[in-house]
Amino acid sequence: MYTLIKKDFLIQKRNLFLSAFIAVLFLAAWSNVSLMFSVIMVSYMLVFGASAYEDKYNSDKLLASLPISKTKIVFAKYLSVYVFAAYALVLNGLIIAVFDVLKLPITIPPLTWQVILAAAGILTVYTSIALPIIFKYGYTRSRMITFILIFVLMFGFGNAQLDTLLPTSESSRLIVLIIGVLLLLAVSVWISLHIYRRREF
Amino acid sequence: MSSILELKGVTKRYQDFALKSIDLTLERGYIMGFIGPNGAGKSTTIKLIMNLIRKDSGEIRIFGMNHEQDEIAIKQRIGFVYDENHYYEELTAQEMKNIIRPFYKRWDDALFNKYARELALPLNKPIKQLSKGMKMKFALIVALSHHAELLILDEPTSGLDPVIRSEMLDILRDVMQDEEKSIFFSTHITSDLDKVADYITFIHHGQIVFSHAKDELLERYRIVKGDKRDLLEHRSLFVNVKEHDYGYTALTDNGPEVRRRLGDSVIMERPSIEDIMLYTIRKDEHRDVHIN
Repeated sequence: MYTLIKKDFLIQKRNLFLSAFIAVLFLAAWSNVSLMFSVIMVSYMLVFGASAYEDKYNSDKLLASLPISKTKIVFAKYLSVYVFAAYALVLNGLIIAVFDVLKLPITIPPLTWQVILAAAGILTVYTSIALPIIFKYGYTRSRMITFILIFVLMFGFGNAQLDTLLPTSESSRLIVLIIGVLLLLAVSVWISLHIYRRREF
Repeated sequence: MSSILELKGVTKRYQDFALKSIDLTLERGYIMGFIGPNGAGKSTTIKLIMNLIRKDSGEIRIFGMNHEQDEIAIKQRIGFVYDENHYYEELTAQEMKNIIRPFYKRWDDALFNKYARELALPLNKPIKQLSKGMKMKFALIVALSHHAELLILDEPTSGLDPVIRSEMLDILRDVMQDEEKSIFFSTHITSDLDKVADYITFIHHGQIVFSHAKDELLERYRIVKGDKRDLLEHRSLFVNVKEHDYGYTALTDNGPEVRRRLGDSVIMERPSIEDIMLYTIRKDEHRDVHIN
């Protein structure tokens, strides 16, 4: 599984550079939720960038021919979301540090656990919906849907304040929310496994 | 000991095409050429063997194991080369190799490097900058570097120049020094098989026309040239007949019988595998012509 995720990084050398520009753009353009948006956008770009390459070279056929279980391929894809998100977080942290050193007149809300949790939550909801579609139809055929979906989610939450997104005052509501998202993720993984095991290459 | 590859009554139905009850057996130590025109079902059969698509019915056993239940164990022992490149073209051959290596328990880096040297594969160039021939060589080297016992090759030589084709065939012959290995090799370039194949399996319209030892095939089949007067009586001896002004040229799958019945009134020649394939394919088309 480690090799599969490493592969997703290796094939995207150019995208990894590009993601830094995206992050700068998002950090500079938005205000309140810009950090969260930036983390989400960079993760989105890299997770689906990997799928785009896979589609371009029909590499699904290669993976399916190697001695790798389909279960591992599916798990690795879900896991890669969080590995890319961690990368996005570090990347954003670095950029903010550079902003700080240069004393740029851009105010970015501090990196709090609420930001991380909100970003992880939105990403989880997003990939839970998008990945089964991609496992079924491949990246190219589902790219319109997944693209629209990310913007619906982003702008849906864009006007919301982090406070309303995450009811920090009421921890019981938060726990219900987390459990709900995790359940959605579990169902999504189960559907993807079912789809990918029956897929024809 | 069981066969290395065995298909029994395997079917796969698509809207516009169907594989109808495929039977074939490949023993250890042999090369089987799998021939047929484009669209005959060669790639579909290979996808079924590799479990890339699901069969509708029948049984596929590889190394004596069930190809679905024991898929991973089987694939550890299979090397594959497909007609197109499926590698990540942004990566260099070296990087791609490093991604594939951990998946095979018996990967042998020394062997990989030996083949890469012999075939002059540039390891540090992105795969997209390699010629088609080089990409194929890379795929072949990867297929050979984990001590696979069965090689599955889907049109590996199509679109390659004769020099590279011959280099690849030399390597396959070299691999076959090990008598435990087998190669299943689909192609429409039948001249490749004249050199290396032990068995020929011919598929047409989703059905196996024959699956025989090459020598036996070349022994039984004959190109027959004779006078049209004999044709009416003996047409049933021939797989297919081409008539022309002076006489006819035909393919028979029973050379000795033709000799017995027609004696010295006909000329008989050994066919190539291509002759056998072409005459058999055109059988359907020519039947109409004869009726008119």
